[in-house]
Amino acid sequence: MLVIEKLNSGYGKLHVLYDVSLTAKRKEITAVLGPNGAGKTTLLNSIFGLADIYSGSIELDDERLNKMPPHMISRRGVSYVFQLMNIFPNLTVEENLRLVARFSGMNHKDIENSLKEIYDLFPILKERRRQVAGTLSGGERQMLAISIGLIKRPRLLLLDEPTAGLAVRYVDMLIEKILEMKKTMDMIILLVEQNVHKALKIADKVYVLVSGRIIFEGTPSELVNKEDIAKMYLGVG
Amino acid sequence: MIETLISGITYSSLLSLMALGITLLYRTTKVPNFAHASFVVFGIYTSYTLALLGYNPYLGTLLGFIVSGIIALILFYALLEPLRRRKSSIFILMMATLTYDILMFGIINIYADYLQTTFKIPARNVYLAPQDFTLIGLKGVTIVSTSLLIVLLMLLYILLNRTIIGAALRAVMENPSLAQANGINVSLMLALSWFLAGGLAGVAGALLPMYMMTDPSTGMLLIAPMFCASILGGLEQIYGAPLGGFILGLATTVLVSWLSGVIGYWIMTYSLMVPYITLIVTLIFIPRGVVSIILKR
Repeated sequence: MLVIEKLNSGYGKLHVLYDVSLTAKRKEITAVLGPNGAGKTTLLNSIFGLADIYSGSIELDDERLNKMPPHMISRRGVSYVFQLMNIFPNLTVEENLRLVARFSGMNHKDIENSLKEIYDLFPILKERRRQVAGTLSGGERQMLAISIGLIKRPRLLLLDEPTAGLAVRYVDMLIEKILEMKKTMDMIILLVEQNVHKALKIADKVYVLVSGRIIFEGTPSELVNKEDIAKMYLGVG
Repeated sequence: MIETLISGITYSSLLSLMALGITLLYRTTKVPNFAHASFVVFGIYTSYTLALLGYNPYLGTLLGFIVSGIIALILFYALLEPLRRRKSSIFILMMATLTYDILMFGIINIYADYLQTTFKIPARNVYLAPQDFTLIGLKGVTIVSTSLLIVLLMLLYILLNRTIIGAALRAVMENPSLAQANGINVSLMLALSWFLAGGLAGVAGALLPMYMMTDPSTGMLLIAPMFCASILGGLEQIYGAPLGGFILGLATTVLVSWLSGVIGYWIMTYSLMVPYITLIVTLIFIPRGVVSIILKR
């Protein structure tokens, strides 16, 4: 379980998050929603050691992640799929996946099994496995980015707006795949998503972040019933 | 003419070794490293010191690799890494390398003064060619510089493409943020690239006194040709550096020598302009270097 308590964080003197508390469980999708500039990406960056933590705690399965550098957090089973710049563009699709798998300390057999799982989840990547990643379409790139996050079988997967800028057919497909991942893989999924309707369809728990503060915590249906929040900040309801 | 060609090949090999480090650093850190001049000079004084102590100056290639590698590591850990963590711009990082180069220039001069007073020798005119060997009519420095270039290029290829550390280095070159997000210690990989680049410059520096008269300012004189070779080959392609090194090296030696026969001997005076003319032409017509043309085909 991911437990964040009274987190205050930001970048140098720029204080972004104020007393943020959040819990996310295994085999669940926890969505963090909110308007632009609310601090959603900063929340993910804080978990991953990319932002300055002023106070509060971040624990994954009772292990404190505060103050750890990103590469150590990664080795603790946390995968972070960035919104942009999330692949190695000059390597082939399979090189991207194998490289990350090798650095997670997986043995040869585990890497092959994990690759098979990825290719089962995203068959198009198997077809494109010898293609240079930088030449993939937007949707295929995003599938590869998520696969890079999945290849090492993380305990916690951080997804930063995985559908941003994608064609509608890819958005639907990716949302379905994230749901499939939740069902088949034993991990915590923390999803930051701009597409509120899609996120509410697949999330088990929702947090609404506004100006660096959590203003709502509950299930998707509870959020939809909170008309003031849903309408004012998310444009739904 | 054959003698000029052989001399050109030697110079080109040495230039390639220096340019290789500049390209490697540019690929990993995006920093144009002006301290490369000092890394070369530390190599020069390593082989010179060995020669003074009665050892074979060629041992300086190995020791020069380590000494200059360490000098590069100090630069990285003392200046560049703290600046990188503060997210300083490339310009600031570049200025830091220039500052470090000036500081190292001072240290090398102090060391040259020390050698001069201790050994009573002209430590600012370092020339070891008289101690060089010959084999099948070729000077030792020609054989060693070309062989070392080939061997080191092969080792670099194996390191980058056949080892897990090399894979990590490639990942850092491609996308440092993503590399870090996937468990790669980016800082350590950058340190490794600085050590390797410093080491390569040290090897070239250790061989230079066998080829030409050197002194503490030799690095500063060679920094322009080093950058030109690197840019000519293509800053985005590590293996472009030797290509740039050979084109520029042969242009500076063989082409100028040929032109002196055609136009007149006075042209030799202007051979120092070759790197700058090459740089301007490259930046205007093939800004991504010669390798980009080859790759397009």
